[in-house]
Amino acid sequence: MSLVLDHVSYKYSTGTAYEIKALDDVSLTIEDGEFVGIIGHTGSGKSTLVQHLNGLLKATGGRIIYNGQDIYEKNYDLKDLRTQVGIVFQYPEHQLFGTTVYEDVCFGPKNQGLDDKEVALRAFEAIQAVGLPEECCDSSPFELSGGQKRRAAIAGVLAMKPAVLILDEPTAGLDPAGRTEILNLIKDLHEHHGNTIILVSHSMEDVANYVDRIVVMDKGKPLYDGSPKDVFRHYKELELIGLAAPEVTYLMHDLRAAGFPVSPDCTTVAEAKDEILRFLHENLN
Amino acid sequence: MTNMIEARGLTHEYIQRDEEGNVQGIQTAVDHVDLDVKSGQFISILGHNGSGKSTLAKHLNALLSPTEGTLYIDGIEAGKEENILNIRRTAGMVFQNPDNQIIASVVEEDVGFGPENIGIPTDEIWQRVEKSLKSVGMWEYRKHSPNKLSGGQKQRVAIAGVMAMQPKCIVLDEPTAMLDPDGRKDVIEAVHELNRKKGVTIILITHYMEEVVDSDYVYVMDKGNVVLKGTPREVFKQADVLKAHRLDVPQVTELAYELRQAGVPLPESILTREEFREAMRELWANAK
Repeated sequence: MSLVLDHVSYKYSTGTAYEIKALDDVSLTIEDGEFVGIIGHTGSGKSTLVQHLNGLLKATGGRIIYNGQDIYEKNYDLKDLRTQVGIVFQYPEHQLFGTTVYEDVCFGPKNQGLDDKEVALRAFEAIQAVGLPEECCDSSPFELSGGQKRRAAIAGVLAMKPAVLILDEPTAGLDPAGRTEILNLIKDLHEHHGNTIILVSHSMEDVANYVDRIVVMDKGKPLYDGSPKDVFRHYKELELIGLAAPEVTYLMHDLRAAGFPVSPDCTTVAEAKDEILRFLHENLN
Repeated sequence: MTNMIEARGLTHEYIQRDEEGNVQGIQTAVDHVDLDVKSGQFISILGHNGSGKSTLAKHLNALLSPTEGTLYIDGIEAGKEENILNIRRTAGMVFQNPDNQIIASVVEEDVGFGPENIGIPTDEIWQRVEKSLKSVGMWEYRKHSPNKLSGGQKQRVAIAGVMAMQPKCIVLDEPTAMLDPDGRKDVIEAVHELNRKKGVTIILITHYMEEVVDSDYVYVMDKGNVVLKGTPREVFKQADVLKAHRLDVPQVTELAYELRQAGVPLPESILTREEFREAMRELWANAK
């Protein structure tokens, strides 16, 4: 069970003077159950990349293999792929349209052709999984707060029971507590429901705190691919392509430059705390 | 210094009505807020989604009128029909989504749109366009099409468009929410530059704690009230209070706080990497 991109390229406006290579010979394997973060500046190809993963865009070159099957083969069922690989787009609450939250969440599974009982069951499960109170089922989605609306929209995708969940900037525009709540929800889906998660984000702090593996996109290609520690070791190169490391990583480098021999490989507040405590205990006693 | 913004008991209620026009519900979005902003200050407003900060901001350039209380913008009283245009010329506004604010197909024409609308002579329009674009570092893009720019560049063009109206005050409502780290940094730097070099009063509304560190003064809002105010140092000292209001502190402040909890004698309210480094040096020197 995996998602494999094999030399995938995508060109916009092919054959015209405006031809742009949005994806340039991308080869990537995402294993079942991974939690992957994709980072890159605006226009680096991250969104184009994720839209390939459930066949919304068709590569102009290369193959995509999901669970051993080439999704571009003639008889491949793309509709089925889309229920297994779910995408939560940026600002997904703009796509809410049902008169009640329940009705909105039912839309996906209903379209999968499931019977009413199964649809209802899945809708309630999904609403519960995103942590919305049951009273919300009968409210109009437009009566909810910003964070709740986003949860409702995520529930709509979860109700289709996708094995792979892709989220494009799921925390944009939310307050700090709202960001933490949504990210913890995603972490929970990964840990307890076994979903493969692909998180597209502009927040270096968020990806450092949550994901196991980071893919850095630049000019339509993966530039780095590794653990947060490995990737943020290249913080100088990341700055050249409009990205950065988490603030604490910079701090640890500053401390090193100031003569404190701490390891600069910390990417979260918790890691930095442990490292500074270790250093102080070893040297001040 | 004179007061650029002075609010006393400023209140705004959203009134919901049914089809017959009967009042169904009243929601108090801004609840008796006092605000004093001196000319040339850099002010930040923090608050979670739905705390009332955007409603407050919309009063500052007369997009909304107070339901109760008084508000003066550079001495002009808000809430009076005849003062609306004057207030909008005094306080410009920049919104979250740059794509909703850019209208022309060439950068320099977009920036010239505002002054042209208020009948500024052509020569002066071009002078203003040049000055504004230079002040946000976008002059070399003047002949570009806005839709080919990055988010941060578009947002800086939007700020230049406001600057061309020569406002004394600019209100920015989450201007960096949709930008990548680079774009965020460029926009915040451009805004600080306008504040320092041109003396423009800045009101910055944001969810990013790091952007607030260099402000002169911070207001924290919740349920339409100001629940905490002070210099960034005074405000970020209260990590627990901020978290209770669904906010946070910058990562460096958080780390210093965690280390203090673990018994490391660091000073309270460290805001920047430089301060953290100096505090570590001092701690080290004292221990040796």
